[in-house]
Parts: sequence; structure tokens; C-alpha cells
Amino acid sequence: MLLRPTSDDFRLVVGTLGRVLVLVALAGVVPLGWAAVAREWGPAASFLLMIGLFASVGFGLQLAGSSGPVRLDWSHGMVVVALTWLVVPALGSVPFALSGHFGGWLDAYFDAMSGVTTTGLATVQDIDHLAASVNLWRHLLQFLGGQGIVLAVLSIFAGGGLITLYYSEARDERILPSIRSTARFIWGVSLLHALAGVTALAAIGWLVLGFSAHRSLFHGLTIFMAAFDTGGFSPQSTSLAYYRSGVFEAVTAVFMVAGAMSFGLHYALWRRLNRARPGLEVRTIAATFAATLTASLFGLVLLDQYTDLHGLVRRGLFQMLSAHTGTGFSTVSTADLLRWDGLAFAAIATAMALGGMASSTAGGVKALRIGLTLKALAGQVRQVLLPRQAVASHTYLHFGRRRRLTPEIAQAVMAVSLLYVALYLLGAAVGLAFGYPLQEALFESVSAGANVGLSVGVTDPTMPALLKVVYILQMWAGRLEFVAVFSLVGFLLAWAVGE
Amino acid sequence: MAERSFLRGIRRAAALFLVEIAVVVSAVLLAAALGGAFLLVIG
Repeated sequence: MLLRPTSDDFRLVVGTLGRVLVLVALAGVVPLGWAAVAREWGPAASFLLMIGLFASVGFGLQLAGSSGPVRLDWSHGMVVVALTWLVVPALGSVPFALSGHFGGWLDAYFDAMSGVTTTGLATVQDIDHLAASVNLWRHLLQFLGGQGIVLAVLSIFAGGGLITLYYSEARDERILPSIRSTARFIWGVSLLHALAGVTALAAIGWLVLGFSAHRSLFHGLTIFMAAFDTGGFSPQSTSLAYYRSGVFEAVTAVFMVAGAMSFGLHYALWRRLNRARPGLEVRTIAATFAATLTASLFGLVLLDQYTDLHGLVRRGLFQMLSAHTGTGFSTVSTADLLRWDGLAFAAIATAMALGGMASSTAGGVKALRIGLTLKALAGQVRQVLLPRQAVASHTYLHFGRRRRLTPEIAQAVMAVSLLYVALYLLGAAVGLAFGYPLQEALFESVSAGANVGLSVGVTDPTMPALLKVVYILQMWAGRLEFVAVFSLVGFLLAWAVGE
Repeated sequence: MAERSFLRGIRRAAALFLVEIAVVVSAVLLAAALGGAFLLVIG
């Protein structure tokens, strides 16, 4: 029997959602300021409208919601996060829809969802002539999404039950004893990387590529946000190939790697703790990266795509880093990527599906789950081989601590891994139903579900509306790692049929 | 005191970035070794 949510439950959820939306309204001031300085008056008006919408809906929900101290429990937190990740792209897509560069509201919502989920698939048209402030907002959405929208709320209002929001945003590790200090550490690390990343990329733009100072700053800012938050949006239609610079690609790759590292590892490295020594997760991601890189390079050589070492390493390695970190930047054209057939294709699709580290901004199944799944399977085999009376205990090293791999952990890890596989297959099946070849349908579906953003051309303004909706749902469910999505569905179901 | 704390912060930040750079450099070296070997053998 399902228990129908009470009016207090609704007020709590609505009130907390309102607080998040008001904070996102403040983020809209950044592109508004850029539009004012660049004299982009049309976009400036659309940002004013968007800020007004965020603020009015946010304050309205706060008024309608709980006025007392917030006391969220686990299920409330999950529902708030699932709703936040639906409502923020809806209101955040207003400047896109009004820009004239999108086929309609669905396309604008698609790109906004792609932004907050740090995916990077795009339906925007003629992006090379999109207003800089609107382009900046696309990238800022990725930054907000990658950092965790409600993490911002935590760092300011932390208290009461707000800690549940932290876990709901697919972060399973509290780095420091207090949730507020954890949130602030994550923001601190991000701002440190922002300072270094924007400076380095802008300097390359100015000194090496010959951009003007303000253009260098714009490209440095946007590419950094898309790299560190493993988003993959680019201000140019040709993605990173636009810059034709190995140095620019190398510096971007450093921040892609940083983005795919868990914040727990960042903390251990920062404090020079013993916890930084390679545990199960680091070893797993090193092994899967080496394996997929080997397969892709071997496949590319077999295809005779690149006959010189420089081209092979530069193109092959960057695409693989982009896929495994879940960033989605590309240095080859869509047509070239389509020619990456056979083994190279399988390797890059597998790398996308696996993803980065847990508690990072990367998507996909995540290295920790892969490692734990393999360890649990190995444990099962060992148990079968041991004498019947023997009881084997399985442990794994995670951030310097040896932990026990309990059946409950193994079951949860395998369940989520299976859900990811189902998510990838679902999108591929819908793509197939619309007549796309299997290879393309599978690649694009994995790219959406694992929040990567590499595309073989299926994602396009002209693709069927239903497929756009499916990819939107895949990006949403993949980013929230299912639990928050199931909580929202359960909440609504209980409201409809509960007693 | 503040200066020492600032310098410690700079050193920690440098160490953190060095690890991230080392990961990318290792990946480049691995890719170069693998790619070179594959090109030599079957290229």
C-alpha cells in the first residue's frame, strides 16, 4: 500500500524547489551582464525575462511552500532534485527559444537539458552566429549542472535535511565531516581550476591563436566550463577542431581529466593524504582507459584512417579521452567519426558507456561500479571453487580505507549498472524504430544516457520529436543515476493512487 | 602567517595540477607507444 503524500510533504518539496530556483535566477545575471557589455539587446531582454521567471516562480513556490525550518527526509530530497533538473532547463531554455537559433521550444529544452546534465548534444542551428551571451548561458548551464545545482544551495543554506539533496544529486561520498564544508571544498576546487583553466586557455587564444583579448576570454571561459564539467558544448560548430591547436587540445584535456576525477580524490591530493594512493576505482579507470585506448588505436590502424603517428595519437587519444571522461568534445568531423568502424567504434562506444569516476561531473556507469561489479563476480566464482563450509570475505580499497563488499552493496551496484545498460538499449531501440542504422542509433543513445555528447549526426533539429523526448529523458535519468527519478515517479504514483 | 598559508595553498594547487598533467602526459606516451607499435606491425 502506498501512503499518499500529505500537504506538508508538498509544501516542503515546493518550498525547497523555490529556494533553488531563486538561486539559479542569480546565475542569469552573468549572461545578462555580458549581453549588456556586448550590446546584445535582444538576448539581454530574454535574460531579463528568464531571471524574472526564475525569481517569480521561485519566490511563488517559497510562499506556497514551507515557511518553517526545512526538515527534509531522504524521499523529499530525491523528489526536489528530480524536479529541479526538469524545471531549471524549462525556464533556462527561454533565451534559447527566443534567440531564433532553435527549431522550437522542444529543441531549446533539449539543449538546456543537455547543458544542465553536462551531456553536450545540441540541436542549435547556425551556432557560429549565435549571440555570445546566449552561448555563454549554454556553457553556464553546464557549469551549474556539473557543480550540482543544489550544491550551491547547500553551500549557503546547509542545515536541516538539506544533506539529502547532496546524495540525491548522484554524489555518494561526503568528503569532509560537515556537508557545508564539503560543498565549499567542491566549489573551492572548481574555482581554483577555473582560475587556472580560463587563464591558460585565454592566454593560448591570445598569444598562440591570435584572438583578440575579449574573444580569448570568451573562448577560455566557455571551453573551460565545458571541459571541467565534462559537458562538451562548444561555441563553434566544429567543436575543438575549430582551434587547430595541439596545445589548446592538450590544456583542455588536462581539465577534462580533472573533471572526471572524483572530488574525493581531489581532496586527498590537495591534503596530500594517504587516501590518494590508487584504490579500486583508480585502478579500474586506468585499466578500462588503457583497454579501450588500445582497442581504438588498433581499430584505427586496421581501418587505415591515420597513416602517421602524430595524426593517429592526436585524433585517436583525444576522442578516447573525450569519450571516457564523458566530455564530448571532438577534434574530428561527424563524417570522420562515422568512418570509425568496427573495433574503433566499439571501443569508443564502450568508453562512453563506462564513464568517469563516481562523485565527479562525468556520467556513465562509473569506474567504481565497474570495479565493484567485477570484484563481486570474481568473489562469486571464488565462492563456488571453495569448500562448501568456507566463507569468503571480500574487501576493496577506496580512498585509503579497506571496505567490505557486502552482498547489499554488490546488489545495488549491479542493479544501477543494469539500469544503465537498459537505458542505452531503450534509446537505441527507439532510434532503430525511426529507421536509423543500428550503429548510429546505439552510439547516440549511449552518448545521451552516459551524458557524453559525442554525436554521429543523429542529434539534429530535424530528428523526430519523440526521439528528442527520449534523449531528454535519457540525459535526465542518466545524470541523476535513476534513484531520484524513481523517487519522483513513486511520489507522483503515491499521490495519485495512495491512501 | 597569512603569507605562509597563501604559499602553502599555491604549493598544494601546483601539486594537484601536476598530477592532472601527469595523467595526460602518461596517456600521450601510452598512445604513442601503442600507436607506433601498431603502425609498425600492421600499418
